[in-house]
Amino acid sequence: MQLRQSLAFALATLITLSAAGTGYAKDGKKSWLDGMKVGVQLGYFNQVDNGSIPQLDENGSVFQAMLMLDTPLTKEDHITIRAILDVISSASIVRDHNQSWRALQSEATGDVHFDGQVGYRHDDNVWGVGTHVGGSGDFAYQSGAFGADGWVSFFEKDTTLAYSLEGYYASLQMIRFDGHYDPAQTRTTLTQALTLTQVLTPLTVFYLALNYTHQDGFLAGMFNSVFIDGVEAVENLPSTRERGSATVRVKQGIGEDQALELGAREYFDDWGLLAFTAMSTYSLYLFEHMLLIDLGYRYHHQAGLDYYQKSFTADPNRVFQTSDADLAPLDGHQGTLRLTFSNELFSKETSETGGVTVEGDYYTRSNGLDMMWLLLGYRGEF
Amino acid sequence: MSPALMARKLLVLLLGILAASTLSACVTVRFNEKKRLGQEAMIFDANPLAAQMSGKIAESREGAIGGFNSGGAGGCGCN
Repeated sequence: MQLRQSLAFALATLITLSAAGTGYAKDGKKSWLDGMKVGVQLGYFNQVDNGSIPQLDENGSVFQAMLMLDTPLTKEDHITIRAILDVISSASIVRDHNQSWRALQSEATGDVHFDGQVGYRHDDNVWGVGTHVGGSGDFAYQSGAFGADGWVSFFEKDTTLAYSLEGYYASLQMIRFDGHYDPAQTRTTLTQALTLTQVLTPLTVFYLALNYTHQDGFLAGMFNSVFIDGVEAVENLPSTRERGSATVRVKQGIGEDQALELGAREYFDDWGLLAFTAMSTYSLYLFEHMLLIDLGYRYHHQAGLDYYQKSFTADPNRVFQTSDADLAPLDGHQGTLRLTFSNELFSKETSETGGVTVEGDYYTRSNGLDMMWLLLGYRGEF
Repeated sequence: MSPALMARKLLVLLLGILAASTLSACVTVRFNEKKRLGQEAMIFDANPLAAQMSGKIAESREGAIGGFNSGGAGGCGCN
């Protein structure tokens, strides 16, 4: 229901946009497309799971299409639209212990996941506010989302403070590991973020983000299971979770053509998961800024959840249990190579941002998961 | 406390001190000196499409959320 309402809202907004466009001729604009920023991206994702969970391998690939639009209604007012479509082209959830069971599961072959969002922004010279609504879902998951944010700049825009609030209300279809259905459950997620962006020098920018997320409802995986003395049982996790993180990032320009970014994040939650993430990106302009090369490395370390074990033995006092490999103690290494070709190669546009992007990423995890994804995107302005 | 944990806390502390000194400095960089800061290479997450995809992948396959490319959990049935 929330998804249908969100789609109806998006359609109504598009109609409003079209109607508003008729007024542009009076303002001297050629069409309502004038000033519209467009971003499109095609992505391919593949993962190979070799041993994260001994009894279960999750191999799969996903094709993704993404569209982002930012249409100015006036100089300060904008309508924003985001749409994402994921199509799972192949997936094999191999349960060696239970090969006869082939019930439909989330992210099985042919499944489609949709995410849509429409919003409004008012950006003045030194402050701005925005809001958006959206919906996402697949056959086993549907959610409605809302968000609001605001920012304000001080000291000739050297300092920018921003706050955002994002909420999701989700409905989960309880298709369990053995194919039986339990009654549908709900999940609520509320995230707040406070960020500071500070210009330090003409070549140095500093960024600080504090995030806090509250979740309640059914927070375990619908399909996840554990093994207790070799017998499969459902995953069970608490019905609330408080999650926080602090992130710092610094960008340092080097001469006219290079830049280096360093960042670190400390994460904690009340399920006992502690994590540390560090990242670095080296950027280099070539051919008179017609090509930007970004070379990135990201390291992620997490201590496992209090409730995590690879397998369990019977214990009548234990309430919570998970063998989800994503919540296990692990180290992750990610490499990124991104090439961005300036729009000046294709048009008279002289923007310092945007262009055609080609990106490849590889991520390997210490507990057996390998992932890679390729992106082809375009960002430009009419 | 393990040496790795101590090192991590020290790093965050140092970066926090840097943040505090940043705020106290309130250095004003003149408008005509900011041309370089408008370039793609100098903007955090300048490519929102690529950031969205990478952020979502990390968010759904790691236990942590927030900070890098990602606002928080939600939008999928994952943990």
